[in-house]
Amino acid sequence: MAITRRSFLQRGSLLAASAAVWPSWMPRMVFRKDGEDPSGDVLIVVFARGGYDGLNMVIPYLDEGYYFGRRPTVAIPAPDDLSAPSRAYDLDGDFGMHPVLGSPDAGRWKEWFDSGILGIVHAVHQQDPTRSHFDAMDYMERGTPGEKRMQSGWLGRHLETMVAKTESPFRAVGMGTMMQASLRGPVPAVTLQSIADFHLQGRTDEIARFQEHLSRLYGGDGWLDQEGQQTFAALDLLQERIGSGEYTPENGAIYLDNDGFHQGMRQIAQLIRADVGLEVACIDLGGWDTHANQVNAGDTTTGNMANRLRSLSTGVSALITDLRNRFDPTEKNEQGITIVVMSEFGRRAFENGGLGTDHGHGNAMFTFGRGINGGKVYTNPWPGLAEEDLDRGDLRGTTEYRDVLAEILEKRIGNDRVAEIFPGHIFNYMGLARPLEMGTVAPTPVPVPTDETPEREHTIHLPWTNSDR
Amino acid sequence: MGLSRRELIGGLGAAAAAGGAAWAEAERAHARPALKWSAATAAEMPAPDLESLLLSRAAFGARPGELEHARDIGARAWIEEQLDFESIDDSAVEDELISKLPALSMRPRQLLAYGDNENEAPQQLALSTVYRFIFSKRLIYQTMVEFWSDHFNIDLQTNEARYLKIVDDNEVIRKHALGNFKELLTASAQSPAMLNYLDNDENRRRAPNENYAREIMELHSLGVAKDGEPYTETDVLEVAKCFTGWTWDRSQTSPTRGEFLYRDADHDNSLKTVLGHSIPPGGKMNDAMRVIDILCEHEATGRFIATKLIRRFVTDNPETQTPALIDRVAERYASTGGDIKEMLYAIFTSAEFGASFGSFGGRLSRPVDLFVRALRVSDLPPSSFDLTYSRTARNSLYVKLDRMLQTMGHRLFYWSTPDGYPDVKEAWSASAVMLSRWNFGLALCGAGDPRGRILGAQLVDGFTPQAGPGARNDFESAGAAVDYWIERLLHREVNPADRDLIIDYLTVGGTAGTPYASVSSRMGSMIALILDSPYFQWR
Repeated sequence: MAITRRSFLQRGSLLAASAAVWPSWMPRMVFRKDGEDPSGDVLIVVFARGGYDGLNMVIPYLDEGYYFGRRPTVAIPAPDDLSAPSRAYDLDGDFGMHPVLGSPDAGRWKEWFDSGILGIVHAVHQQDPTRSHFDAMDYMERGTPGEKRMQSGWLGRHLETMVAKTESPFRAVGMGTMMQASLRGPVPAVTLQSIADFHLQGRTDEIARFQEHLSRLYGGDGWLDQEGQQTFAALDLLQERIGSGEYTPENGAIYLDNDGFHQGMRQIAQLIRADVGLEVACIDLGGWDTHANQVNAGDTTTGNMANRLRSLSTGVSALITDLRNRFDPTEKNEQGITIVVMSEFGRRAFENGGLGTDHGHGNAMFTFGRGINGGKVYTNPWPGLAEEDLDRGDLRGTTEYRDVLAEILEKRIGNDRVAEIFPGHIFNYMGLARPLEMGTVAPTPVPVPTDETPEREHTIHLPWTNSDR
Repeated sequence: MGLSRRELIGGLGAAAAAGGAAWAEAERAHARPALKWSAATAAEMPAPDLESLLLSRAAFGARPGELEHARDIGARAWIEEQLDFESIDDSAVEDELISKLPALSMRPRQLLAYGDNENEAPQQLALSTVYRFIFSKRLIYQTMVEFWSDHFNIDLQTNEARYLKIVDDNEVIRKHALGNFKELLTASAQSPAMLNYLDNDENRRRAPNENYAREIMELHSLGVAKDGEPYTETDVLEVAKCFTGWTWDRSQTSPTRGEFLYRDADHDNSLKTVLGHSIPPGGKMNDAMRVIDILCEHEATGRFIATKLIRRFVTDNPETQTPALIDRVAERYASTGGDIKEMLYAIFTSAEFGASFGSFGGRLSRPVDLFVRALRVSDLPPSSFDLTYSRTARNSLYVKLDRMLQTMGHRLFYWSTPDGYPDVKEAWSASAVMLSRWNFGLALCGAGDPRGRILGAQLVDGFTPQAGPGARNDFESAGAAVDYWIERLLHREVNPADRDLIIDYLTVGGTAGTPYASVSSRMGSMIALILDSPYFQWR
């Protein structure tokens, strides 16, 4: 896309003659050729800010004595508690799912679990004891727990180490007003609050001419000219592929109008369907810091957290419904999608006396996709809720979150340079995902034995890392 | 505009020599306005003269009259005048802020008790910072306030630091911005906001926390260690021991609540060794004072601070592009005992600075700099800046700027990590940031989209550059109007082809001779075109 000033000015006359609103010089970008090897999945990372209570989302009834003992007023009733107004769905005899997540009338996550495209990892943590939201998010998004030296984020390094399949300006998108720290890095990510707003905002009678002239002022071959051209390419591509922004979800999927998370998921679906070259999308939703009134006193399956769970689960399910083919393990043609749902830490095993819970440690993570070995709660093993099993009163971590992310990056996205993405980490995959090249559904997951996982040692130098030190 | 080409082939020798020549010429004839560089030094974009470069790099741009003044007295005299900042009367700005924003003059204990609205104190701090950047007459001083706020970054999303940062801003950053580095570092080390942000308030004899110890060396003084030089992991632990007990008064009832406190019971009084210096037992609070001495006297500190200052004012890549200047500025640090003014004087009067515009790959405006510079060159009057901040004032200038800065990832005092906002161009050119830069220009000139969700049609109610105080609004031709605004906003020429483009835009395919009356309705978006062009985005 390096367009020199000279070629630009030569084309300028053509442009003026054609009177096209959107410059026609931009070569049409083709992101995927028919018959090509199946590309890696699109990765959607949902980050629940504030620390969601994994113990009340995927409930360890195998420890029910301790669970109910530590949470007398906020516990979710067990699947066999018919006296309760509402109760969890049983998953596997050991764990239950919060009714809002599981219900066919709400989140439908039980349905995805049973059909094998949802795999749950429980007692996930990061190897740092912090209970601070900001530190925990910061470490997690950098991908370097306990370390703040690396400026780039884990997804930024993922993009940097992937061979770029396209020159699309939309390889990575962060939904919202501020780019997610995980996306920081040398590959530019588009921060997108709304597709409808992603344009030069001027009076309609002037703005096309303005944009044309401005793009010509960025027509040189200098560094800033190229950055400008990249942005014009993004504007142009959205205009070409999406235009006025009309979007009709398919398969009866419903994204709620007044729900920011739903609208974000809807726009991610729109970008995927428009084939703009999207590889990674980040989206956040907040409101999980439930120190008080996490549940309603009369029915613990309702309350503030239940409302957040409804938004989260129905938003995810709307996208899965909308793009159903891409989650279908038998589908070979459409590019797949993997969704990861995570939060910076779990909440304490003990409730706090205000119908709430304080900052804790181990938590649950959710992975959706046609290449996920789903229908299973991975516990690695379950650490237990007995006093001596807890970590400072919190659920202990048995799976490091980087193992979950790295396995997905390696097997579902096709990036085998995970040692550079998570430097210093010793990987331990649990067989959560199937490799891309298999192409078919494996009958049973094949866990990677711990003692055979090679320890990868390496020294890396990413240019971005030291750019401002 | 091929700055990169210049970067590749432009050996320092030629650039420095030309810069020196420019300085010599500026000295000889400083009263002559609009001194031009020799063609050999300019990249493809015509370079500014020395005074204009100073106003754009060593200040947040020039309000009308400021550049003329600098040209009148000459670059060297202007630098001296600005470094002697206490002689510049800024009382109008300060009085206005103190009267409108009560949190700015509160004691720590008042700040910690400041209502239920946890946003109020941080917002007053950010609001006052933008206001000072735009309206203060202490120009170099304000750029250094910004510089040290990054160097000693404190994130307002941190527990009590979000309130106590106001005290840090007054007592650390503004008090010492152009003072002595050791006094600045000492003040920062005793700043409750910093102690809270970097967890030294958790650093106790029985449970040492090394976070601050590491950062005071890595980020605040020596620079990052490589292969155990200049410090080792053992030094980090030893420095942490020296700082045990440095905390702040958390007592709810204490009159000094929120102020610095040394708690001897938490101090580790054993023998320590820091960077080869032995610190004997029993030193109490003086252990950490001794550490500060050792750090400030270390050769690496002068080089590290010099390098960062040169990055701020001269080039993104001082280590490779201006190593000799690092040597000279570090030497000023060593021979003056860390006098910040002396270091700056050496930078601003250097040949490298004089030649820096087209020589080193350019310094791109960060969003805050871009916004402030645009508001300054377009002469925003103080009356247009509503200081009565409230969360409901959704359309006030500050709220719009704040939202825009959030979108662009440059919200003041909201950088989460202790290294401060990045100061290299690659960090500020993502598509959403470029687009926001452009939409800002459109909205400032009243040419925005009425339905635009963040900025709307107009950034400031009742103000646009073309209708601002002192703006000319009668011209003999369209070409004259374009030339006026190019000089007014950029203080230098643009390439002839680009001037033609701007005229083409204004006149819808007409020529420079097109009558002004027929194009005046497009003046707002034409001015936005200049602001949005690469010319204004570089500083």
